[in-house]
Amino acid sequence: MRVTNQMMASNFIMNLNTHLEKLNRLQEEISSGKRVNKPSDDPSSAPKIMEIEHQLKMNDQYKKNIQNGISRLNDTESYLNNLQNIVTRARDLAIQGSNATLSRDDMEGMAIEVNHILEETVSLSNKKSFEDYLFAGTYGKEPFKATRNGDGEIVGVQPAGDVSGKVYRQVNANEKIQINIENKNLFAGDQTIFEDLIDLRDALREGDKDKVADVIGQLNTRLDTIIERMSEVGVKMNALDDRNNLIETENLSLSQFLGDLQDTDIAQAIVNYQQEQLAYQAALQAGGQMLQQTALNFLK
Amino acid sequence: MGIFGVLSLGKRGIFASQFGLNTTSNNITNANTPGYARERVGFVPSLPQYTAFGPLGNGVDIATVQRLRDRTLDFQYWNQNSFLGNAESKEKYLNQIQYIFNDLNGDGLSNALDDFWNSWMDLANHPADMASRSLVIEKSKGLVAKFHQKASQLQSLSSSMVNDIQLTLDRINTLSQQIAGINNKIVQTTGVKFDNITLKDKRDQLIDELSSLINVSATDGKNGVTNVSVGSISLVDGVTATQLELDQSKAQLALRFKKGNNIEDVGGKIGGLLEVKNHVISKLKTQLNDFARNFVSSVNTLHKKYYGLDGYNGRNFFDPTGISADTIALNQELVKDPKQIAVSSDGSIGDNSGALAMAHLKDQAIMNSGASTFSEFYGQLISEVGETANQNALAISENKAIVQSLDNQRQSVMGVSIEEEMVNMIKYQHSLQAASKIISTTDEMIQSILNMVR
Repeated sequence: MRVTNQMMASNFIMNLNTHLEKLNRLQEEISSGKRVNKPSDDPSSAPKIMEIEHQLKMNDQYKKNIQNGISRLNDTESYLNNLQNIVTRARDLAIQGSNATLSRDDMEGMAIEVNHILEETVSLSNKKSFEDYLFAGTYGKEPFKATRNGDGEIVGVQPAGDVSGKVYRQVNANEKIQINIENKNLFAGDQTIFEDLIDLRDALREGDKDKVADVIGQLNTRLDTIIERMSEVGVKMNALDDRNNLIETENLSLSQFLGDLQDTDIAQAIVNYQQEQLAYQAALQAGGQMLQQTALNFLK
Repeated sequence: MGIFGVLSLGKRGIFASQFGLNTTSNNITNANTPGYARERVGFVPSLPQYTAFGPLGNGVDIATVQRLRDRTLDFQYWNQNSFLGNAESKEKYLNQIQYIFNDLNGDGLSNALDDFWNSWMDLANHPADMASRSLVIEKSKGLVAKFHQKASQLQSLSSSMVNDIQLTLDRINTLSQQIAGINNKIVQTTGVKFDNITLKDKRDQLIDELSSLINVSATDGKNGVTNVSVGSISLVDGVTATQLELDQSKAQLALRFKKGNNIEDVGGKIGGLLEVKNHVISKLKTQLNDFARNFVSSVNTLHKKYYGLDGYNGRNFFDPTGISADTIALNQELVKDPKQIAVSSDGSIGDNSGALAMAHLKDQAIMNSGASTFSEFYGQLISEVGETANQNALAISENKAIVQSLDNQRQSVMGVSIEEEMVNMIKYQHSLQAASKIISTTDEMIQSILNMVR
């Protein structure tokens, strides 16, 4: 084949361009740390990368939901704990009150203490975690309203609305976990802690020891319910912790997969870069020397 | 032949050498002129004088000055060049489209969509909280803005492409007119002894350019003209050029001969532009609108079922009339009064089931008639964009190699080699010196003859 100067020059330029394009691409990979910077860099990986990033972001939100659930359950647990303590105290008072040797004055004193416990129980039933009423179900507003007599004493406590709703937190794409406890047999329903305490207070005040003794059984049932609900809280917290750990594990493998898809193998890229640079320099040097050679140098 | 005949033979020798030197110099000085084909002088021996002893040589004549060009290679080159022009014109716009859908860098529609879902889950954690409600509004506004941005970026890309198409078309029409014009001049000078090689070079260079703009095939006609056609219809027929025009009457732009049928396989740069405009961008627009329409209707259908903090249900979340990527908009009543965001299934303000259901839309296969989720659909869209650009990049490097190799073969025939011309120069220098020697020797001989009779 007959070779001309222009051919050599244009081939040289084309080869230099090819080298420069590769160098540029490698440099982009190294400096961004990413192998895939735009969809065309790897069209089959691009949607996978986006899907993983989507999942990682959703998982962050699920973790946030779980944390929110855990902190609500924590608050629920500590208020139930308080409740357990004061109801135990009320039961002890009832046991004492049913004792035949007590005077009316002693019983009146106990009635006052039970009344305090009643007030505190109403306040516990209306507790909030941040802005949310813990024992309101889905009602969303102050759940329990006390009816008072002329002396300002509580004569009854009724739910302000439907407090039986279940509150859920989304913990992953497929699962919701209930994070409130049932009010039935505790604050709402046919038998409530409020009624027990009112009965006890009134029985103590009347000095009716048989009635007081009757309430002991009711309070024991109530205490069982409280313990039952507390273990329910524990089970839910465990479940949330579990889901949180699952997400952590999933995130770990997602991140690794994302890295495999997206990250530059820096060591490999640098080796490639150096090889390419060597080829580029060789091309430059060879081109520089060849293009200078003409017959003119030898014709005098 | 007498002795004076030898003088004139020497003179023609000098003349021929000068002519050769001139052509060589012309080649050397045009070594880097694009489209220049090297020229070669065709020397032939002059007709001999027949004597009783046999033919007596009469010196040298110049028969032709030829340009050296392989027409077959030219035709192949022009054919192939349109594929390269096609791929190269697409590259620029495909890259711009990729930058519009730059979700891989973490700032795009997919990100805004994720923020939207997450804001609903935040609201589910605090269904009565006004700050969480405002957050839902803010994130929804962000998502709407992303839809609008993508739609308007595609639109402006599309209109700048129409501009580019028009400019390319004008250039094609200018080129075919110029080619016909040069053909005309060539026809007029036919019959003159020498080919009008400079005009031919110039015309072929114009065809070089034309072949990158549109898919042409060329054939040589009578009297030195070259005819150019697109498909089966001729663009330049001898001395007449047919003009092309853009048919903008339909959504899909098309190229046609004046008042003729549309051209099917346009090819070249203009064909590439039409493909991106008609197929890639319009498909993306359709997909994006499809996305927006399904999104708006799914969100609205769900939102209507639930109750706001004010106890009413049946409200739209998005404006139900905005069902494309450029018209999607929030229900302004909700923006003014975020209490209207509907989250509760029964009106009790602590119920978050609506917010959970809304966030759950992200996991439902709603797009592609129930085959993909919203984010999967969008991921596929991005993947298609990438695939198109990737395929095109491959086409570029492939066609570049082919075009370069064809051009190398062309250059191998038509290109000027400085070395070769240097050698020619020395050759002509020597032949001129020798021819001069003929004259001076003849002169001496004539002197001797003249001295004989003194």
